[in-house]
Amino acid sequence: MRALTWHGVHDVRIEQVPDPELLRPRDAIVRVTATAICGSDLHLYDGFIPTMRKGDILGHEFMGEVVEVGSQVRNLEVGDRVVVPFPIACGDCWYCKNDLWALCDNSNPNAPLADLFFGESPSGIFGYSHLMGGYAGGQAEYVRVPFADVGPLKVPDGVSDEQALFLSDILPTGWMAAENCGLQGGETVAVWGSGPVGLFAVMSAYAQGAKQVIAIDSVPERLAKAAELGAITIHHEQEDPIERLRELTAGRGPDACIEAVGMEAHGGGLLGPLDRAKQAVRLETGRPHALRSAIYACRKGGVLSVAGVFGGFIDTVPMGAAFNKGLTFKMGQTHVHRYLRPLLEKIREGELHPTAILSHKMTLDEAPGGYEIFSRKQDGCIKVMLTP
Amino acid sequence: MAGSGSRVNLGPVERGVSLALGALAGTAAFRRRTPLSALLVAAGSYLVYRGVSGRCRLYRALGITGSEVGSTVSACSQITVQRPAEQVYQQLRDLTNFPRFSRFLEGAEKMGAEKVGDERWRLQLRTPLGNEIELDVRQTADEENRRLAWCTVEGAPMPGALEMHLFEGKTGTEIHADAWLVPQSGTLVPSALRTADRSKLLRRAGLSPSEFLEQELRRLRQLLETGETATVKGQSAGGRRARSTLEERQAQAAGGAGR
Repeated sequence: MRALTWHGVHDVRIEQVPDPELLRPRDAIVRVTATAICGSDLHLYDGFIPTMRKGDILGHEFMGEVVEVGSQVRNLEVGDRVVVPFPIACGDCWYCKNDLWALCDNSNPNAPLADLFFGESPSGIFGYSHLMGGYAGGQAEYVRVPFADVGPLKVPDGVSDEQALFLSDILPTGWMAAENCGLQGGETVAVWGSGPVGLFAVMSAYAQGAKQVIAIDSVPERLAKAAELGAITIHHEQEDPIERLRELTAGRGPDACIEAVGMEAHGGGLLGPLDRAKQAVRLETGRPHALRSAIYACRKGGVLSVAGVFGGFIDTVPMGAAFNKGLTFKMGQTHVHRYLRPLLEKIREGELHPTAILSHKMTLDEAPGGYEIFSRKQDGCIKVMLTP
Repeated sequence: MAGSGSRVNLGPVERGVSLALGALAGTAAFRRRTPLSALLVAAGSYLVYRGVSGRCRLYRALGITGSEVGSTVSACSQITVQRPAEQVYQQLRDLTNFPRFSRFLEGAEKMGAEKVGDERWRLQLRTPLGNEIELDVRQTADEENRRLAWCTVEGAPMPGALEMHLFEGKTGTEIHADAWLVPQSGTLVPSALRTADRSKLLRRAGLSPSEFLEQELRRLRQLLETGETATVKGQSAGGRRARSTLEERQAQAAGGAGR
């Protein structure tokens, strides 16, 4: 089959690889009908996630048709149309039973390696380094899905691939980022980053009762998209987001802040070049400018919800500000399984429109070019969907 | 009172080696006097001191000790499993189940009991260094849903023992495992393994006996909770790994799907 494989920094290729096979009784094989490039795939593309190996198949956002099931998969049949959550979860461990699917105890075969980096291993993830299990991803014609009796959700007729695909990651991620804010209704929420997750966070915050959502970015077309979704926008290179946020909240600061940027934030004032230099020589693994800004901006006693991906160590985080302002931090990989069914219902009922953020459709063969324009934010690229 | 810093922390073999190297360095320095001779004399003097006193400051800083004599290696680890103690006990009391999760146990066959309650097994072991060893073991404890233990029979090429305690609580069944082993390699390997178990860095890197045991328990938990162990061996990959993918699949097909 054809698949997109990683070969080094800014080097991804389409190549012929062996077709996947069932390796365990709870596996299924899915013929991919739609897949997408995620903002977090760019951290792999840019070489900031360790433990990648040449030949790894990328992609953790995908859906398709079941073509083969293992002997223990009784809830799926050949021909079913499914969308697959990016975390791989067994459904049997303490974490899965407590609805914390992205923390599954049993799905990462390289858990000792993750222990070394994180102290404890999270779940395995499709196509996201050997630290997260080394699973082959879904930017391919076919993909092996472990624990297929637990993860994949059947997509009903009447819901298109474009509508269902983002249930695999970014729609639940934006939704959980807003849910972590604990909104009661009437709050102001500031969202750093207007990429796909940030845009879904804007959409989700309004859906969960926010009165005012403010989007912060520096890419004009992304800010324009956020404005289309109803957000007030701040271009962080043209105005100071912290001052502007205080103006917009009558001096209080936002009730909740969502960080939807992660380890490769732009800007940073005086610390920006220092972060870049330290990241280049691996003295720190992330540039946490958006995180710092959100900590300073958030109102006292507010909530900081981190949806952006961090993989290692960051410096100069204003912990004193966070502590003395009594902030609540919530974060983590998304427990996608928790949100699949309720969000599918919202899509069916027309309450959520995930296709609003889709900017580019390409074939799988065009994926290396897709990575390039997405990475460089060229051609108005917000979200790339691929069809094998 | 002597503080911990004044304690001997080198084993007899290493003290001898240190002494010999120190003497060699000193001799070399006096034979050829170069600008580096002073450095060589200093290094040789320290090695001689290290050999005579049996104390090493570097080892002390790293938390390493090589002074324990003996050839036994021990390991202990714990894990909690979301299964009732009865199910865990039933899985563990039959050693033929072990190759389904263990990376070191390649085969287990139940032998005839010489008398009632004297259960015996023949195990095919592959050590982390790749050596294949066949061991006969007998059961030494069997308390229903609470405790199991085995040890090798007399004359085994690699004597060892394993004991597992089960405690069922609100958060699942805790398994506490203790293992003892006398490797075939004299005292050097056991000394290195004991050192590894005491080194925080090596423990965190998964390179100590207790970490090996923890990884075995983790795979046992996978099997007990999910009915299978997680793997990516034999999955699709590109580049040079495309060929090894097919070889891994053939190896898996030949060795069964257990591991």
